[in-house]
Amino acid sequence: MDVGLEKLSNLLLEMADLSQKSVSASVEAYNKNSVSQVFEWSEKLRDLHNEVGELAVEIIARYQPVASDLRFVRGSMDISYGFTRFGRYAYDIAQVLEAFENISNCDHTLIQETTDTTQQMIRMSIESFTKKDTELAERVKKMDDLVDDKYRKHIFNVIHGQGFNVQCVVSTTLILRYLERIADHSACIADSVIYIITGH
Amino acid sequence: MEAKFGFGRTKNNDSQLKGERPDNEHDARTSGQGQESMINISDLHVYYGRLHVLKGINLKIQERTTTVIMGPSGCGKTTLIRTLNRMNDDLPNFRVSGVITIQGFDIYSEKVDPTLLKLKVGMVFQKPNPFPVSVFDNVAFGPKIHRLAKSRNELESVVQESLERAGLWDEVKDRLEENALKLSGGQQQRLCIARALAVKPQILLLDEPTSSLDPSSAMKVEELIVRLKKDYTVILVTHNMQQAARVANTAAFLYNGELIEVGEAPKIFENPDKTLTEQYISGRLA
Repeated sequence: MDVGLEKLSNLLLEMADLSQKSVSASVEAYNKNSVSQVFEWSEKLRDLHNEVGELAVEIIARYQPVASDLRFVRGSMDISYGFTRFGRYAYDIAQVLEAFENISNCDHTLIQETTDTTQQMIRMSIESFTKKDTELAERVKKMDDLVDDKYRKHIFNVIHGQGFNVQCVVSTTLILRYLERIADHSACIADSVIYIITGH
Repeated sequence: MEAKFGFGRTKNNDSQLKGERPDNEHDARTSGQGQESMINISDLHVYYGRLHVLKGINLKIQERTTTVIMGPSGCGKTTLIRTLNRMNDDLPNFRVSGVITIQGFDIYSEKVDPTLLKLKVGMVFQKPNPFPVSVFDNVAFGPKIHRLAKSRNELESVVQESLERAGLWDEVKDRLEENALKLSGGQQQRLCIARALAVKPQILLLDEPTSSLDPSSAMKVEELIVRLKKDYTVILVTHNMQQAARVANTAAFLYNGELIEVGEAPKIFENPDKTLTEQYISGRLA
């Protein structure tokens, strides 16, 4: 069983690396045409997620794990789903940047700030998993509030503001929405890490 | 109530044995180490001569639940359950201290008749041990010698009911006069359970009842154990963690004669408090 659990862990680390690259590439798509690459990574993440699911079921069927092993197998399925969603939202972001051809003159400050926070959350959630660090995981969960706050404020401003450039507002709203979802999934990964370690 | 009849026996035995309970009350029962219990083991120490086998066991077992006692070989599991029906009494140099009460009666009191206690606390062993007589006579043996049936008709009714409760009736109803040794291993074990049920116990002690059976037979016995806890208090010793996880309401882990941890089975198997428990149930105890 230990061999199976190690393989599961390695698959998750591979997914972690790929999902980080996807999100980074997607937000850099202002300057590069990275949609196809991000799509390819998104598909690869989905394949890895399926592989994680199959391996988890095999471990359960063969070895009937209990206690921390069981929590790890269950938590792994939740974490791999989170990584898959990173890839999907990264692709969605890249598509927005491709679809809205002329948004290089839009104010990207809010997107950049939110991207920085979200990428930090991704890094920290992965680190909390590899280092089995519940304190780090708790910090990731708290950071989710920051991203939610930025997104809500933006929506508020859009609703109550005037004279916006439609392309800028719509593209920014969509990208912020996807970043907010990535942040949510980072918090879910942190939750899974806490569950694996503490059982709560 | 006369203690010499074992424990808690009144003129109408059935009133104690078949109290109707709604299903949700059964489901709501927890490991309840703080609640009033059917069996209360308090500071139990057992010695075989100078060998200190059980060390200060404190355990409460709730009525109509299945409690699994688990632990490595030699940790005292079988000794523990045998203290509950005083099967250790005849072992050389056996000594016990502490208190074990069943329905409030101290079972090691001088007023307790160990034979009558064994009627109420039945036991099934690892290796099926049917008598070399017919299926019918195996089950009828206990009621006959203890005069629990007043007529042949009543005896036949007891035998049928016991075999039905043991999930064996349909398989043997046309073979009741056949020698029990011709039954399969799984059928023999269920016959032994029926034999224990025939004297209307309140508690069943099962000492690794499926370890010598093939998987299919083991599954049938396991399904029977799940059904039995609706009417009986079941205490099961097993090495099979998965079986313990499947059937238990409460799980107790023994190690080197000490009770390390006890709790609701889902909690023990998903998130035990003690590292030693975790190591044992995940197969990593050296």
